[in-house]
Amino acid sequence: MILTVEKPRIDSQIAGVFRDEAEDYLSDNRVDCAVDLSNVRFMDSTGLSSLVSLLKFIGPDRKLELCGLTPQVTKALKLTRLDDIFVTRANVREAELAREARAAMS
Amino acid sequence: MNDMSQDARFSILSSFENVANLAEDVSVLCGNRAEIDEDTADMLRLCLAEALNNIVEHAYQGAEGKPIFADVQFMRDRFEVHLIDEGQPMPQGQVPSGDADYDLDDFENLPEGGFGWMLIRSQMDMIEYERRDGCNVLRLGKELEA
Repeated sequence: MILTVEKPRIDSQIAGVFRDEAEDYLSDNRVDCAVDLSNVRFMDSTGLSSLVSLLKFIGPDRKLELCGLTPQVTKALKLTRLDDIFVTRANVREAELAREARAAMS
Repeated sequence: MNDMSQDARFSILSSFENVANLAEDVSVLCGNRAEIDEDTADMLRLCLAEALNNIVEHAYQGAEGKPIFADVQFMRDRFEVHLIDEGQPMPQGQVPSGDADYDLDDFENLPEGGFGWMLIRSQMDMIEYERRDGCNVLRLGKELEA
């Protein structure tokens, strides 16, 4: 499942709504998830917190990956060391290929 | 000429929307006046958004319509942004540590907050806080490359 964020920023105004809607979807649908961040030009600490919450929410049995990171998002993840806990893909296509590869292996 | 002359003062009322716009306005001004590159301006905007969000969320405890000022000063080799509010003081009268030394392997206990100060500390060259005349004054400084 690809979850595309259409807003240009995930900040204190929308991070809570983003997290709640994503968690609602992921509790109704037991699937792996790639969050497409290619439209997101600006992410602040509340955006980072919402991604960590989602990663914890989805748990160890499912995958949560990030794809299409813009330079500012890449830097914010790196500076908080969160780049070490998230699997990132260049774009949606790469995330799809990784999912297909996992399906073929299992 | 006074080396610390005030170059611009922004004045807003507290709300998450207003502080997001203020962070953008100040970073655009600094981008133009101090000729910092786009990447540095983006990170400045992020730091200002973090500090300003903290003012709304903690100093004013979510209350809207309270005064926030941003004074910007440009000097030869650096610039400073002073954020001033009339809200509650910072805990223990000091800036939170924003310790980035957390345990990445301890998945259950990964921090879901505290990233804001981590980001500010990683980007700003000067962070000073004082309580003055019932106001919080947070001074953020950035050195300019020669």
